[in-house]
Amino acid sequence: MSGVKAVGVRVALDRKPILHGVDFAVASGSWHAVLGPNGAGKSTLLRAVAGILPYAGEIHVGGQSVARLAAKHRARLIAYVPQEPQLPGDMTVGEYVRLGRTPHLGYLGVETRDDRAVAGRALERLDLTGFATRRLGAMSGGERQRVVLARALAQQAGLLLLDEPTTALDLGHQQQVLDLVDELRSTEGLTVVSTLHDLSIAAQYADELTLLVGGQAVARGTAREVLTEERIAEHYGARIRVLDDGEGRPVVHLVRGKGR
Amino acid sequence: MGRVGARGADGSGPGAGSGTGPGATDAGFATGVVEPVDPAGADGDAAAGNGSAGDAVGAEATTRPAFETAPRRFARPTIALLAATAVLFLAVLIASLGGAAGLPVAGTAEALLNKLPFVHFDTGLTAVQQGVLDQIRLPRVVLATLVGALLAQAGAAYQGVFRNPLSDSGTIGASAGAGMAATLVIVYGGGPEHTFAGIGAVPLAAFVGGLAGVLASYVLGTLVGRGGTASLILAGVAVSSFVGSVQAFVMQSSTADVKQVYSWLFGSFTAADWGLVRLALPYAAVSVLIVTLHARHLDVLALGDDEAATLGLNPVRIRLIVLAAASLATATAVAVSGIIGFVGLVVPHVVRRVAGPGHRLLLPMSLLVGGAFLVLADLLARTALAPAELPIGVVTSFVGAPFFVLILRATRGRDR
Repeated sequence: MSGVKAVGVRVALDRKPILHGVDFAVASGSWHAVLGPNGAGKSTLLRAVAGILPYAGEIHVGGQSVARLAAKHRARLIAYVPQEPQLPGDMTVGEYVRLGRTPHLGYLGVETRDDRAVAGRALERLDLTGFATRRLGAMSGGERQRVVLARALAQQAGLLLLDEPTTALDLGHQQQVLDLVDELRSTEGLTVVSTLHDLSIAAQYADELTLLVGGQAVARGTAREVLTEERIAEHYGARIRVLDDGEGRPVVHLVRGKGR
Repeated sequence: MGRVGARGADGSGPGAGSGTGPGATDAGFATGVVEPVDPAGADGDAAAGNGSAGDAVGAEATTRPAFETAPRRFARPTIALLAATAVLFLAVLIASLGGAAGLPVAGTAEALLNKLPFVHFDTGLTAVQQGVLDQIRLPRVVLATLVGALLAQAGAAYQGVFRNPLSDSGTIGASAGAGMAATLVIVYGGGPEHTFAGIGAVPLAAFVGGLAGVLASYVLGTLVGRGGTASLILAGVAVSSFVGSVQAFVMQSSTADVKQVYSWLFGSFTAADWGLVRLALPYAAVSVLIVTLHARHLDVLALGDDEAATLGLNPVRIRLIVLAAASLATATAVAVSGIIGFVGLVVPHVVRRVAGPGHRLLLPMSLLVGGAFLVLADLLARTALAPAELPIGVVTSFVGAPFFVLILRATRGRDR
């Protein structure tokens, strides 16, 4: 339904080419992680899929070309959570989540009972019902991430794009957010594409991975196929070991230098 | 899920603590105000509270102060608007009473209400008193109300468009453009006596100059940036200071007209008559209508351009539309009153403190409160040193600045 198929995606920002013909495909209902060293173009790829950057090549979501979709129609198919979402401190959680209904409203933005019900269910889904009248400024980091997910969920789009959803979260909150996304994926049938900088986390959660280096996809496949010691050492310039977590998923370790 | 809830409740500890400090009532009031009626949501609240009673979120919800979960949200925006309307009416009444000729309070109030459709009171005012009210006091009061409303709502719109709390008509070149155009007409164009198609040359020049200032800033901002907010603000600053320097040069070189220019630059309603009101009204109506209709768009813009775009809006187009409408309002206000600072900056901030950041309440409330503020400021301007008049811009800043600080201090619990 909301699978992604991208062929030869090229993006230039300020005339500087960032992506040089990236291909990737995401099966509907699966979790796809985009990995890569800093500056590889991960966020740019995500923003292109979200339809907010002009691109050359083809990106299809649910069989429809992203570039040809009207903005409102596109917003009903694709929800996007940036790395650092802006949460106006004085807005309440309830108001913020209801803004997720925007693509379903007319030009004047009149919310119906249904819209409020959908937003209410999104709050409920993320255990935020009791927080509806709380100011966003009074929410902690982990709560804020849940609020943003609730806003995306209220959008009722089949494809959820997450740019580094766990930056700035401690270990426990990272796990919580990722588990939550995983649960939404399986219960709501969402397709998830996320950039992740932590390779071990990507290996844990994603069904498939794309390794992006210098604006090109250098490897695609399952975690075991993509995350090999040679490949990571080569592209990240890091000394690492890849172990097995006992359930067939790779775990990437940094190896300390010799010291002096 | 249980664990998620528990964590959520843990994390909310400090936040909840700070929320119940001095600002708690404000927060409760404000959040209630912006919340539209939601019977379904209220049911949902209750159900979730019961359903998840086992986990911490349920517990949190039940221990929450009543005002936060109470389903009494419906009345709040209506009450806020009614209260602001009452304040505006009182301000208009007080301003109508102030002046050389004494008017009876009750009779004047009734005479004002008589202006509404389907209302008729026997006011007991003499023909002379009614004449003073209709021909001397009211044109000025109505014009001041209109200008205050326009400036305040335009300020709220600018702040929303630029996502910058310090924005107002001065930020985007509107005031500077109007100021320079008016100065040129006063110095080189023969002054206010000149008319063009029945309209005073100075108001006309101010109107055109204000719009031209915004247009120049916008074009410049889009040329150097991609229509983002920062480049627009910077372009506005560049245009304003450029235009300001030209204006200073012109004033420097023709000292004879400086006084006249200055009195215009600080704003005045001395020239108010029904003709000016009629002149301003159509532009005011159009701009207010357009700005108000984009309230929810401005809420979405607050999330940033990327998110607004992924929610199906075109942020650049919405910014252009609201900017144009707000600038029309500013140009109209400047044309009939000169440059009046502070209203567009202060009134939206005060309103935001009590009504929350949602533009669907902020924009109409700014209209009402802005009107009330300026009509009272004008009362002060014409009565404080009577028979002399203070420039209204002096009053708004002299009275407004300390008042603003007081409001900020009284509501600091709501600071982020």
